[in-house]
Amino acid sequence: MSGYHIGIIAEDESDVAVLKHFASKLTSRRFSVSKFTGKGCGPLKRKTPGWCKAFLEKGCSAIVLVHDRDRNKEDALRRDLEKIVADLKLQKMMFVVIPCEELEAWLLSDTKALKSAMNLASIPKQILHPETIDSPKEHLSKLVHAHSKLNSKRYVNSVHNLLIAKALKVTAISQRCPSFRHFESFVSSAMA
Amino acid sequence: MPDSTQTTTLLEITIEGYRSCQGTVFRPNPNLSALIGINGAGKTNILNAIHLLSPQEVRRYSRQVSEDESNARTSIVAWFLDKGKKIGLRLTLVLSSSSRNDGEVLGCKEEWNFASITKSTKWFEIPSFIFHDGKYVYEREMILQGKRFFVRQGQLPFEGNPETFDAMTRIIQFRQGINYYSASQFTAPTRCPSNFEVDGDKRLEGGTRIGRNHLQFLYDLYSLKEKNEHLYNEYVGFISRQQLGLISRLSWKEIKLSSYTAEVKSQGKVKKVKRYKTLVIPRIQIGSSYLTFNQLSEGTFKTLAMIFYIMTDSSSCLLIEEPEVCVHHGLLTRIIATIRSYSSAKQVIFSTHSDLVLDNIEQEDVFVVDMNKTGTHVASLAKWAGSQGIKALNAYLCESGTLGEYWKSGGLAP
Repeated sequence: MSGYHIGIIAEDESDVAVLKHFASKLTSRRFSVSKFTGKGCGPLKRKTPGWCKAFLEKGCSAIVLVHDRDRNKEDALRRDLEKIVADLKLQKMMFVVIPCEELEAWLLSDTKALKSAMNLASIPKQILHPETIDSPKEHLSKLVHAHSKLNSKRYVNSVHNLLIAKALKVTAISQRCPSFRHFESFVSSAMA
Repeated sequence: MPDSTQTTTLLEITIEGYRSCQGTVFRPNPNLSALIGINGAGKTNILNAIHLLSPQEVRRYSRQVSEDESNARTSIVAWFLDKGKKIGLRLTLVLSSSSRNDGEVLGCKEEWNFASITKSTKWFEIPSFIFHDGKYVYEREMILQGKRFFVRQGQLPFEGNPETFDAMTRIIQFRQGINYYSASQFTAPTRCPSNFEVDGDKRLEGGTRIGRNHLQFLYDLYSLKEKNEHLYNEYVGFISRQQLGLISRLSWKEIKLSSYTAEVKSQGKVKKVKRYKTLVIPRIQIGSSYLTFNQLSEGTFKTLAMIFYIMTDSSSCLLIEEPEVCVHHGLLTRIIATIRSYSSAKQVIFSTHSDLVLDNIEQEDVFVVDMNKTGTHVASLAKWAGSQGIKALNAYLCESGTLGEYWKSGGLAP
């Protein structure tokens, strides 16, 4: 295994792919990724310790954990997850928790890129603060439908997120999404 | 749950005398409903009964149901929500009970209830074939039927009441858009032909009964390319490596063919006529390999077909039996996400045995199908589990696992 090794825990493969893509845009260092996918806060709480230990065995030096906040109190879950990892006392392991909805908010940072990625008929109005939108996933869905030719296109998060991510410039996300700056600094520290 | 963009949806269906359904009542969600239950509980019977609402299914019948009908009858009472109004449809069907158990409709009586519009609770006997493509063709159909009809002009509830007429028209259109995809429909891709022929008007020629669904899929795909290039490109983009990750490229090779046939005119004169047709050969590129459809894996072929119909057909209600069959779990989550996304445009009802599918839908979309002494019963998850059960489930979801795991480990057992 060469270079840095990052562990990603996310809801599905597409979240992993999006984070991997953004990380590769933020650093010129070579890195590889190990992943575990699982949905819901129950599995996250129960399985995170085992998954983190597996990451450690695989040689990961940093962990990114993406969780769903649809049905749960986000702060409480974040605290729980951070405590779970802290209790593991993993030496030299860096750790960041990202609510899943933030990933979709990042994808709303540049509507020109959204138009280009989704091959829309028109450019949706630029959103200045994507993270203030209540449900970025639903908002993306409505935008894609409304701006596609003949309203024929439907946004499917697990299929389209990476496509949109590839069209985005990280500077645009960093400018409009404070949580992305958190991820940005995590990547630069982890790869230092 | 996404907002429904449909003006008409199926609100409730009561099935009586159809296989295991003896007074089965099912109230699906306007968008997405997933039926779970053990084998033999009656999930497929419910889907089939909903499919019987399709006029294409009942139009095949050759006669009306007579009062002295000796065959067993099936009664289906469906309530539709049309622009906020509840409209009722009662079908009394006589189904064949042949050894093939195909349940072919032999006879049918259709009655409608417009109480929410007319304030009359009376059920009106009106066959849907008096409408064709949304137009009222009652008189023409009467001549075509070649018999005296039981509803005379002036007795129909929509005459002089455009609101009733419009509601009935929309509901018939909804019923015309009920499509059913069985678990085995697109399996065994080796049954798929490697090519097919279309005539000069691009209509499908020939074809055998074996692999008919597969051939129809190829032809529907080819037709879409000809008729709606934009939607075709949307589909091809969606299944591409960059999105769903199934194929690299889809191409069509067309070879023009001609042949002679003879037409015998009056006085025995024979005229040679040249006929043109096109041999169509679809090819799929995956990586650097070129394949025909019958060389695809079972899961890839099924997913291509299922996604095609989810994305492109103009159905108003999609009935899907076990979408998980033959599909890898990584791809399955994407398929379920796709179904969920499109359920805002069309009502989707599917059955499943997969805990992974359950992990990717909302609790509110789950319906439990159960069989007891009186037949098949359906209940929403909340009703099935009760308030204590839902409390226990939510505690489990918060602390331990997923809905699918809870189901698989017996948490939803009665």
